[in-house]
Amino acid sequence: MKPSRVTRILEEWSEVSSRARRPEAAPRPAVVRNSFPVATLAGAIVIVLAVVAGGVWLGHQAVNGVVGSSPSAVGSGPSAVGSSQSAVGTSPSAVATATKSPPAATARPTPQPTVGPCSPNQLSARITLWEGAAGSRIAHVELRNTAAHPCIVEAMDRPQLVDGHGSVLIDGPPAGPSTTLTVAPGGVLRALVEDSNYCGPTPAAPVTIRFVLRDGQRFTAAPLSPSDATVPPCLGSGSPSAISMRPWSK
Amino acid sequence: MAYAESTDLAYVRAFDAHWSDVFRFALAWTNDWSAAEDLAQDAYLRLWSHRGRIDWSRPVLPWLLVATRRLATDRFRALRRRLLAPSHSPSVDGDPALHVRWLDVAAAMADLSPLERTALVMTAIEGATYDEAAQVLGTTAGALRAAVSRARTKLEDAR
Repeated sequence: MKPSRVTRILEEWSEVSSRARRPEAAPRPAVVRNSFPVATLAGAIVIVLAVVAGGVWLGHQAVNGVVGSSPSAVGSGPSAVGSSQSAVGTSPSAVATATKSPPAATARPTPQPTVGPCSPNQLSARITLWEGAAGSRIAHVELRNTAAHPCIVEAMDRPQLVDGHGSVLIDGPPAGPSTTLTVAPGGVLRALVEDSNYCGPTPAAPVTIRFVLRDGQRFTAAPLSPSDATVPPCLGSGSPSAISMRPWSK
Repeated sequence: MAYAESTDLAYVRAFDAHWSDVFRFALAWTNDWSAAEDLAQDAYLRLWSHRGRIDWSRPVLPWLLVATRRLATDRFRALRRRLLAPSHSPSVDGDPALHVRWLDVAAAMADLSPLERTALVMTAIEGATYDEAAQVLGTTAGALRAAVSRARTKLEDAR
């Protein structure tokens, strides 16, 4: 049956809007550092004094007669320059301090830790959204590395729709070899899992997604809610059920 | 500063979990991609400024959606003239093909009011109940049901 115009528009709306790129970081208001007024003002005064005094001193050297007409300014020159140098003198030392670390790090390279595959017990998955599309349901799943070190996951797993007892409602195809992703500590990956055509009895809540790794290990996403029983609509008991995932991605 | 750290973490988690929901809600309301991005950003900034008063043990998405709607309403009041003009965003997330698709969808949805559009999206796409959507949109389930019905009729009749 041809989908209605409303269905087509809504499906397209859903598809297009789901491709919006999330900002890389959670927005926060711009912060003005407390030290800003004092430090900047002091720095500005020092620089102005240094420029003025330096200019006056150079002018005195070049055109002595002209500068000589303002002795007080000339008189203050060296002391001002002296003070500015001492103040400015902090900058190179600060720079030197700041640049000390990289050479030290270069001199003593830290060994690269070996990044191994993520163990299911260090992964925390959860469904963040169920989307309805014509004839299917799409779970947005988030996967977080809860360990203190990076680890590697394969981009594709075998997805299964499971009920509250852990029974498989719809089984996905076994995962073949796929690309891998390194997940930083606290890093998050996302994937979409789409299922369709469930014609069985009402499942026990909560319904969720389980991911079976290639080596047989598995982890289960936390359901959207304890009472969630989202299953795709029955399109016909003669047709097979299906579940598939899009690869994990950052 | 365990408290500050915990609210900070909760904020980041809310961003990770719900940014897409907030954006789509804002998109449904405004029918304008750039405005929706701005609204989502502002809604999170509002959440950030309220993070010390939020009950993080409860779902935060309804709070975010209500904040988004209020921001959108304020913004529409203030900037109605600008928003009635065609969108000047050169492309949707730098993807010209997606941009063209978006223009078609936006045109199809343009005859709907913000309430009709958002009510339809929330109930038909996001799977919200009429009661849930009505609560977020500050109306009654009956009014929301009528808005969804009007939206469907408008979309079906538009040729």
